[in-house]
Amino acid sequence: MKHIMVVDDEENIRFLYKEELIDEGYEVILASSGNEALELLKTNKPDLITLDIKMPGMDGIETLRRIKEIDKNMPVILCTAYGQYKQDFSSWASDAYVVKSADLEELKTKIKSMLGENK
Amino acid sequence: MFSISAKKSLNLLKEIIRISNSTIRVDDRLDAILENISFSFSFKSIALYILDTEKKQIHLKTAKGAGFKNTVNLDEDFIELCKRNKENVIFDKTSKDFKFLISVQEDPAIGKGVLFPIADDKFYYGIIVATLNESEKLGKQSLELMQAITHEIAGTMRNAQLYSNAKDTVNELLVLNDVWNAMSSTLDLDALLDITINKARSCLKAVCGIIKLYQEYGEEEKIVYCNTEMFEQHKLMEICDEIHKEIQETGETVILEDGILEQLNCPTDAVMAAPIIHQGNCIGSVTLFGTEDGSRFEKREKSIFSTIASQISAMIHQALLIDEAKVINREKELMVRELTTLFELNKAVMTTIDLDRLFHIILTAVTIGDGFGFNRAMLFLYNENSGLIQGMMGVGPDSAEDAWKVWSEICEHDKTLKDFVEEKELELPQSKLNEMVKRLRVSIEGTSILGLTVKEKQSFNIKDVSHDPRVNQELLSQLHCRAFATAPLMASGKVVGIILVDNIYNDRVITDDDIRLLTIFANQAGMAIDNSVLYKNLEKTHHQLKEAHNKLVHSEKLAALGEMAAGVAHEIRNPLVSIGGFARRLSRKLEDREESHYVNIICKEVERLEIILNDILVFSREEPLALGTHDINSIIDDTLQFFINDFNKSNITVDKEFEEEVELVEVNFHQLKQVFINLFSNAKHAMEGGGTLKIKSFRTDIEAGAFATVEISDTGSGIPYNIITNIFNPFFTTKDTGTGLGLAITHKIISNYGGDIEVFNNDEGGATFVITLPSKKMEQYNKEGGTL
Ligand SMILES: Nc1ncnc2c1ncn2[C@@H]1O[C@H](COP(=O)(O)OP(=O)(O)O)[C@@H](O)[C@H]1O
Ligand SMILES: [Mg+2]
Repeated sequence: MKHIMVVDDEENIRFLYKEELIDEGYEVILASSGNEALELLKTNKPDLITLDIKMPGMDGIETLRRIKEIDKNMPVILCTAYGQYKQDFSSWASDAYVVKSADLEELKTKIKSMLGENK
Repeated sequence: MFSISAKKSLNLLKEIIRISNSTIRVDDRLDAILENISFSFSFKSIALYILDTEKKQIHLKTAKGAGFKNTVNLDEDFIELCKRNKENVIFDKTSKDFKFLISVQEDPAIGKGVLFPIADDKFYYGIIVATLNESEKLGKQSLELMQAITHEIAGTMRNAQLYSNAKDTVNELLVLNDVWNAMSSTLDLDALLDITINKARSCLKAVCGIIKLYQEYGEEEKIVYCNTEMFEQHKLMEICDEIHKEIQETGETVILEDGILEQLNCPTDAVMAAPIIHQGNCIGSVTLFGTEDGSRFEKREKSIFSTIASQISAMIHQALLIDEAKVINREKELMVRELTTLFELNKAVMTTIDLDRLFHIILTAVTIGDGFGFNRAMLFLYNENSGLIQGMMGVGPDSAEDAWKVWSEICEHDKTLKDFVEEKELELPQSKLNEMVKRLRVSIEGTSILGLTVKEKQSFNIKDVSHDPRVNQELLSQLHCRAFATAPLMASGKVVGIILVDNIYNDRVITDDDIRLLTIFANQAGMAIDNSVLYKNLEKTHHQLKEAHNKLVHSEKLAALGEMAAGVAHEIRNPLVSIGGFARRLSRKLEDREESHYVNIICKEVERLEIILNDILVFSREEPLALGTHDINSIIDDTLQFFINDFNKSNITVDKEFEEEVELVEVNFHQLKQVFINLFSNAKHAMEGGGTLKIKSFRTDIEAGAFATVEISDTGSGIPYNIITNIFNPFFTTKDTGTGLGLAITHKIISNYGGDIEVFNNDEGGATFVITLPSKKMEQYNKEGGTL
């Protein structure tokens, strides 16, 4: 069973992602900030991390950089509330990015493909 | 010795003075005087000779007794003799002079003669010759008496001559007066010449007369004869021409001499000619032939004739002036009429810039009575770009009955153009003619008078349509008239349109004057139309500017809105994701239960809100983007992933036709994805009941560069023509839930990359959007050897 860490400052979002991803058959770890995520990474080694960009305290981009410092190969999906290309997130070291949407289909597809679960 | 008593002498002298001062004819007086002398003196015979004007002959005037010669040529000696002996000469029967005068054989008893000169201190008038018997002598007293008597006779003769001269002068004046009177009876030159030559002929007692005016006078020769039947007319003409040549040089009146007459082979020996001078040029001559009594023309006649000729000259001059004045007057009158008409028309035309009203005024001006009064008038505009001549308006009655009605109405109300123009609300013509004209459209190519009018920039007056091959048959079948005319409406040297007029109902012939006026008016009208069109364009441009300005304001507002939206997007997005996300979950959990319907509504609305949010964010973005090389096919494929579910649900099949690799350089992947998202979602909306989405991609290499083209065709509703130009405008939407931003964003992205987007409706239904973007060049493919 694959482990996915969801990092988001909004509780309801964390809750939604957790429910949905569990339904998809993943084990989910939640972090409400960048710091918490880095803290958790010391004891956990998830297969993939979804990272919200705009968070109080350490933002998603900084968090991403630190994660990559710890584990260069850790797959990370950036989630943004902005339009698709306020900045080109693909230029950051993340492997993918999605615009947050109530429709989680895109996110799930991306996760699957990054975990090598594609049909 | 022959003598007379003193008393008798006195009585004789008294009698002679009485006679010489009497009012009887001078010849009778001389007769009576001679009678008295012969009675008182015992002369055997006595005669009175009168010196002729040439002073070369003396002519017998009256005589008592026989033997006197009628005419005696005077030789020098004899005259000398008379001059020397102012008193009297007594000569012998054997003397030479005596024989001159008298033939002695008649009476042998005659012994000698006495010659008494008749003279005063200046002139010789003649002589009295008397004969005496051989034995008789004249006493001193008798000689003195005779001398007194001859003085008296000289006085009588001088008086007579003076009287005769005076009478001649009076006669001349009477003749001229007569001619002048005749001349002033008319102003018509032909009549004048006719009267004058007749008068001149009769006054100068000539047989016939000719006035001939040559080309120099005016447009053509003019010949006036009178009484020429007597001679061969063409002979006379010939002579006139010859004489004309002659007097053209001298400019003087001539009596032709015998030599010339012979040379000219003239049928009469009395010919007199005078030049007719006009402004220093000899423009013709007047000639008289023959005299009634067969005599020659004399000096006196010549001078009268000369006066008459100069009178004719003056008369012609005057007639020409009058003619000229008449022409000028007529021209002026016409000009004044034209100017007033044109002035009124122009004033009328300038009162409006409303095109329809302007057309109406122009055409009314052309048809109304105080304008040009044509039966019908039509106005066409010429479009330089399309080369088409388009009917705009027609004014005129539809039938002859209508025409009469309208005209009588106009007469009744006495409506002028001015009244017409001042009417506030002009009723635009509702006639069949107007309808017909509006349907007329002619190309300037091919045969048609309308085309010619435009091409040659001139008016045409077609007097007989059936015999003019230039008349367009189609036009003719609409007009039905027998004759018509066109005039170009000109503005700044260009033809902007045409006025066509006819007189179909009253058949009045269209004159050259009509055309001239119409052409002038058409020039003015053309200018007015041009002004009006310019004004209209100005208005349109102004309107467009205003619209552009509004749009600008609009987009500024939009930008502000975008910024704000971007600011709050995060805050809105998260709650939306939660609401929507859980609603979806709920919807799945509820499955077929009734309540799932409510949850679905929440899902849909959230979806809509998200779309709006995305659109607004995209539209307000201006920041620089990360650019790279991407295969357009993979972008399309990537985008299609989103739509798989939707397309399945809506029964839409996707038909892809991709060229292997279509590389785009320097593009942002996500922006292009946005382009296809927008186009696909529009297609989906257009094919609510299912259909096919065909996506074709290919590459074109041309001189200017390489291009990638994507054609996206749907089988949906298509785009109504009246909105097709609006669909790229921001916020233009026909959908209840649309934002109207999709195509605006798409257009913006494509043009930012120097590409192009076009749209058209398919023949078989549905719409096709064609995107062209600059692409990687062929050689670059070869170099790099393939894809990303
Ligand atoms: N494929 C299409 N078929 C028919 N109509 C279309 C199509 N694409 C766009 N339109 C028309 O253009 C309008 C503007 O489209 P868009 O800018 O995407 O805004 P929206 O989709 O929000 O209405 C649409 O409302 C629709 O009327
Ligand atoms: Mg749309």
